[in-house]
Amino acid sequence: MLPVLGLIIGVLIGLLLRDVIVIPAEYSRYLSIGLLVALDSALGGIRSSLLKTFSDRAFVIGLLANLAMASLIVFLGDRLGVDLFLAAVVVFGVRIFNNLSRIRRNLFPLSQGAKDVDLVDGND
Amino acid sequence: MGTTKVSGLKALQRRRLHLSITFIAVVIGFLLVTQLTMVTDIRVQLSDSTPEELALVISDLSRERDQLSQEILEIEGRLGEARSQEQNIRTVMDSAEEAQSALKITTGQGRVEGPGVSIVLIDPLEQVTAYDLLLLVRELMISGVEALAINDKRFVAGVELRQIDGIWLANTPISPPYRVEVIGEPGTIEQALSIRGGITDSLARLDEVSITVNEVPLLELPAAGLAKWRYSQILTNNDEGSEEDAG
Repeated sequence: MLPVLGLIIGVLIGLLLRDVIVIPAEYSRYLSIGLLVALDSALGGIRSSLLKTFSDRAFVIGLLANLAMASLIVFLGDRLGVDLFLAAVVVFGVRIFNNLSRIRRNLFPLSQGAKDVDLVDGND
Repeated sequence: MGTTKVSGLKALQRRRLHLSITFIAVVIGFLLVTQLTMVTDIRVQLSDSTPEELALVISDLSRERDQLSQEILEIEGRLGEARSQEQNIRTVMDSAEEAQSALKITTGQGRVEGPGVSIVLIDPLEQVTAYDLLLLVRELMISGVEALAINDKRFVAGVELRQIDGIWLANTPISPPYRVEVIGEPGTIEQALSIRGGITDSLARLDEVSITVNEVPLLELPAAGLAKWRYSQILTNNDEGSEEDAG
């Protein structure tokens, strides 16, 4: 319940500050990659809580490290004229789906003998 | 006791988890809205415009592009003009330099060298007059001589050759033997001097006067003193207005 409330609060803050915080269009890549990193972290947190391996320190460090790395990749891509941004998008996209599949498997366990496919091993 | 402690720890961990995920959710919500606003703003800017407005934008942009290419053409034209002007200036400079060196030669400013002829006039009885020398000079000038010197004195326009108790050249007396050195085409000069009935012929008829003409491959003539012009002024088109200022 609390995360949903947080999401609503975030949306409200965004709506209230939409005229105050104007981010130039060229930073839209950073914003979208930040969004992906945040989603990945949220799903990773939920997953690890279900697996009972959650550690708030790992969570915060993972979030910050991913954010820094993703921003660096986007920045480098912009500077080099190569769409490295896409690499980050793909990686975080895959991780999101991966986390989602783990969560799903944990909530609805598979019948015995059945196999599920992980896209990429993304545990941290 | 042990179970309470474990459950307390678990509760703390749960709270931390919830807080973390809630924080992340706030961030996600904020980022989501901001990104959406940005993207829709751009879309709205374009989609709000009617086709006419979009057409106007396009035509504005095309006009701007046309103007810019026109400007490029103009600038290139100007560049070409400047280049041709530079070429012109260089040509003018070249001809001016040529004219200047020609003037220097004719006015005797600066020493000159070149192939020519050396004429030695031996006259022990001093029968040759300034007039005879002038005739000789005239003869040489006609034969296309470019520079002339008598007894190591440049003979140019403004230098007088006078007969006052002997021959005076530019206010200094000169005495025989007279050595007339000229720069020019040696063949033509020698030909001009050897004309029967010419000045050399008539000078040679005088008693004990002998004339020897020698071709010299490289002669060096001294410079004349700078001529002073006190009354003459060069007129150019630009000077016409300044006469009154000077007056």
